[in-house]
Order: sequence, then C-alpha cells, then structure tokens
Amino acid sequence: MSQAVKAIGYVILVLGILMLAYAFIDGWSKGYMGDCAQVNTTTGKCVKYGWGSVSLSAVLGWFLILVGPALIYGEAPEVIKAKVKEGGGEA
Amino acid sequence: MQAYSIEIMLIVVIIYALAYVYYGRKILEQQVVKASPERPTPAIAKYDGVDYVPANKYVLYGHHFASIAGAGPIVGPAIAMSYGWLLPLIWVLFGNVFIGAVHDYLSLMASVRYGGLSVMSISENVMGRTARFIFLIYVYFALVLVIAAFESVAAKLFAAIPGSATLALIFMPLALLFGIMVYRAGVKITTATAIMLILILLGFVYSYYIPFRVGGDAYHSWVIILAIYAIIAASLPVWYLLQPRDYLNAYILWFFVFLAVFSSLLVADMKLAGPAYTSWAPKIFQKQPTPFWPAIPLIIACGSLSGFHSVVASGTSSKQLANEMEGLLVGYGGMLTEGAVSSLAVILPVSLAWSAPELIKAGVFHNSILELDKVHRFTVGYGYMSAKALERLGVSFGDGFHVMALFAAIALVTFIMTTLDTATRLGRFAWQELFEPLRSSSPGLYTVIANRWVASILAVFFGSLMAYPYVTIGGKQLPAYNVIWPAFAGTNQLLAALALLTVALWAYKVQQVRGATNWLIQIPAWFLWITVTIALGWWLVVVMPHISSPIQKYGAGAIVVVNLILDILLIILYIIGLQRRNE
Repeated sequence: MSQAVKAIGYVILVLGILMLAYAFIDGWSKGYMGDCAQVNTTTGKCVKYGWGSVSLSAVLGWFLILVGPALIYGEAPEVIKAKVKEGGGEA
Repeated sequence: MQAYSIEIMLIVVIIYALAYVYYGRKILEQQVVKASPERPTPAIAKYDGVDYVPANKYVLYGHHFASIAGAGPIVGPAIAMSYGWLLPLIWVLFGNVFIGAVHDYLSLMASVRYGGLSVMSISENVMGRTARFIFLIYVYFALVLVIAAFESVAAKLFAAIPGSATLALIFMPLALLFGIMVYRAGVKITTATAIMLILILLGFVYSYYIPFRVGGDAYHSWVIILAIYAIIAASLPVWYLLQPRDYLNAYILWFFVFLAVFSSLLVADMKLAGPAYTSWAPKIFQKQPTPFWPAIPLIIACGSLSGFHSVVASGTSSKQLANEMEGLLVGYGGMLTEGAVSSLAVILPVSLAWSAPELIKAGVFHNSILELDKVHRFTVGYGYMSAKALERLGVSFGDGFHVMALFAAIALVTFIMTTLDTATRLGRFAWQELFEPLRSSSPGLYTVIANRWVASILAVFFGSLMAYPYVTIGGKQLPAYNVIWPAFAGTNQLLAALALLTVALWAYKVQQVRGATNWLIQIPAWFLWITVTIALGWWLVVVMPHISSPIQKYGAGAIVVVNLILDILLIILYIIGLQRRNE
C-alpha cells in the first residue's frame, strides 16, 4: 500500500469513527438512534422517523469504518504470509 | 401424540452423535475421502493472501457454520410448523444425516482435492466441460435468489426489531478490530476474544435500550443499505472482515444453540403445546394447499440440507482449510450444528409457545403462534422457551422474554448478514469462473467483466431488484421474501441434489467407492432430485400464477424455469458420465 492510500485510509477511518460516535452518543441522549420526522404532540413521542444527520452519520460512518482499515493495512498480513512460507497450517 | 421437551432434545442429540461418529468419521472420512494430515491443502499450496488463506480450525468452523446457517434453518422450520412439529422434525433429522451433512463434507473435501475448485468446476472433471458451464449458470442464478431472499428477511428484521440493527452497527467494527488485533498487533487470540466478548455484551445492552431507526420506509431503506454492505463486505479480503467476523459470530451462535439446549433441559417437564400433526396440506404458499411431499424442500432449506452449502464448502471454506483432518468438523459438524438450530431453537420452542397463555395475555397473538409472521414465530418461540427457563431461575417472565426475543433476533441477524456477504462473494466467484475462458482470448474484456467490484455489484443488483418491492398477499403488503422464499429454497435444494450427485460421481470414479457405501450416497441424492424437481414443477403450476407482483412473479419464475431446464441437462450429462466410466 502506498503512503497516499494509507493516509486516505486513516482519514476515512477517523471520519467513520467520529460519525458513528456522534450517532451513538446522540442515541444515548434520546433513547433511540435516528431522526424524528413527526412527534405526537400529546405524548411527546416520535411517531415517524426520517433521514437526518444522525441516521446518515450512523450508516455512512459504518461504511467508512468497514473500508478505512482495509486501505491502511492492505491485503495480506505478514503473520499469515510467514506461516505459509514456513509450510505451517494455521494462521 | 403428547411429547415433552426433554424427549425431543434427547432424540436430536443422540441421532447427531451417532451420525457424526459412525457415518461421518468411520464411513465418509475413513472409507470415502481417506483423509490424510500429510496431504497439503489448497490454503497452503495456493496461498494468495486474499481468498486462499489457512485458518485456525475453530475460526473456519465458525465461518463455515455462520455462512451456511443463514435464515434457512430458522425461517423454513418456522413456516413448516403449519404441519405441526412432527413432520418438520423428521425432515430435518432425515435430511441432516442422510443428505445434508454428507453433501457438505464431500463437497468440501472434493474441492480440497481439486485445489480449491468450486463444485461447479469439479463437475467438469467428472461430467465434462459443458456440465461446468451449465452448473455455473445454475449456481449464479441460485445465488441471486439467496441474496434476494436474505436481503428481504434481514431488512424486515431490522425494520421490525430496530435493536438488532443497532447491534449490527456495533458488531462489524468490533470484528474488524479483532482481526487487526490478532493479525496486525500480535495480540493473543484468547485475550482478543475475551476483550471482544465483553464489548459485544456491552453492545447488546446498548442495543436493548437504543434501537436504530432509519428514515423513509424502513424496509426499503434497509434493502438499499444491506445491498451496499454486501458489495463492500464481499469485496474485502477474507482475513480482514470475513474470518474475524465469523469467528466472533460463532461465539454468538454457539451461545444461541447452548441456550436452546440449556433452556430445553430446564423446561424438560414442559409438554409441547403445539400439535404433532395438523394437516398433510395446510395453506402455506399464496394461500394454496401445500402438500408436505413434494413441497417440504421448498419450505425447509438450510436446516435440513442445502445446495448453497456446497458452494460455501467448495468456495470459501476449502480455500481456508489448513489440514484435511479438520474437514469433518467443518463440513459434517457444521451441518449437524445447523440442524440442531432448526430442531432445538425453532421447532421445539415454537411448539412450546404454540398457545401459551402468557403470550395471549400479553397480546402477542390471539390464539396460536401461527398467526405471526414467520420471523416473529421464531423470535417469540425462542424468547418464550428461554424466558420460561429463566423464570425457574428467579427471573420474571416479562423481562426474560423481552431480552431473549431480542437476542433471538440478533442471532438471526448474525446468521443472515454472514450469509448475505458470503453469497455475494460466491456469486463473484461463480461469475469470474464463468468468464474464465476470456482471460486468454480477450484479457482486456476479462479484466473489466471479472473485476471483483463489478462482479459483486452485478450479483447484488439483481438480488436487490427482487428484494425491494413489497408483495400483496390476502390484501396485506408483505416483504418480498414471502414469495421469493419457495423459489430460493427449491432452486437451492435442487442444487443440493445436483452437487450431491456430482460428488457421488467423484467418490465413485476417483475415490473408487463401491457397494453399500456408494448406494448410501446415491439413493438419497436421487430421492432428493426427484422430490425437488416435482416440487418446483408444482410451484410453477399451482403457486406462481397467484403471485401478484410482476417483478417477483416473472423474475423468480424465470429463474426457476431456466434452472429446471439446466437441471435436466445436467442429469443427462451425469448419466453419460456414469456410463463412460462403466464402459
């Protein structure tokens, strides 16, 4: 992996962690993770959910976390390569 | 017929133990495969760091079990409970011992002997080049149906039980972290496992209190999100997400099975409230009378046997097997464990919860559990049995039921997510193998067509197209899996028959298996092939005309028709292959 790809990987990973953390902290404060689109005025409870900053952060952050480390670490860990070169089985 | 929980549990455990030792080890491993620890496996001989990577046997067992155990062992038996509990239980046990476990293990080991080739390519060696192409096309279509059905079930589950979606958001990053800790940071696997299990437990507590609710129509939103997830996850290297995720999954799934066994022991004296037998032909698909034979393979897929398993075994698992002697645990043991999920975590709990007064009082259903959607039959049944067990340990039924029903949903999601991205990865493999001849004749075109992202996107696109629209049944709008399921299950079971016939031919021609052992493999394969071929014909004539949505009606219908034609062609090639040997 080139240094540029690694750097992109770090940026993506940090961004992903921040976005997911935002969604989780917001969820903890509200009792649900997501964005309310319609509130029942009598009960004060959310009756319809929409797409907003929290739900988008959660989904996008999740995808970024899946991709980021792959760019940082590349495809084949040395520990597995070494085991195979030794002719050993399990990694 | 009146039965107790303990009786069912003992029957299942004893049959599986005998099957593993006497049929699996003594006949299949020692007489058919003749496994040897000295023979190098493809994971060692063809190591490439992406797909061919040796794995710890428990990690691989976890991956294999989690990949093959999709929604099939749960949703299928939950639907089949319309027959009562006896017929589905017999089908699960019969299918496991005589067909499913044999099929999985032989597919895995045949692939290992052919350098990690898929069962489709193995067919070329025993039936000729044409068979390979027909098989590949068949498998590709079957995998598209797997993606469609599982995306639909997972989207329905996330929409209906949003706490399970929260845990999915937590679990995947933790799996990545686990892989990096073990493979990159050099943390001991036991230490990393302990840390992860604590974090997963905390994640479960968070998910219990904080559901993740997406915007718009939740079902449609989740179909799209899961499609993107499947494409990404299926294109990443196996060591990075697939291996660590499946290893951790295995703990959840083991705990899930353990809890089912433990609960059934604690409620050993409870009578099964559900009837042993209701009817030979209850109205199941599109409200049409659905006869147990031949239709049962269209209902219970992976819990009994599954062709998808042969694709997993010869797709991802055979490329990661570090030693031939570990194949029995992975292939044969994986299938029996999945059967235990069907019998002990679905059929037994649903029978116990059938008309439970606590559930009627709580408004979960009015008279019987059959009123519920198939997915909810399982979560309610599992939650009920576990809660009754916990009640005997002093936990209130209400608390136990809510926690365990969520756990059941999370376990199901764990099964489905794994199968979804593995099916996409396997769809990619099948696609790439299909266009392999272009590699030498048109290398430029091959590079584009066989690109891993292109191949993954195509499989997911076709699957999602069928998973996305709702279907109308009896005036209700329901998720697409309600009509895709029988097409997926039937195509899948027919694939099992074809794969078992292929590896039976390998055992006969290459391994020189003769006599009673040969017939022990051949007869169940032919029984299955005849049953499923008739069942798919029945579905096309009786059920398909009643499907209202054109996308699923003509999409799934066309795939079934094409696959039936390919099926007949493959059988002709099989018979020719057999005769050539005899000549």
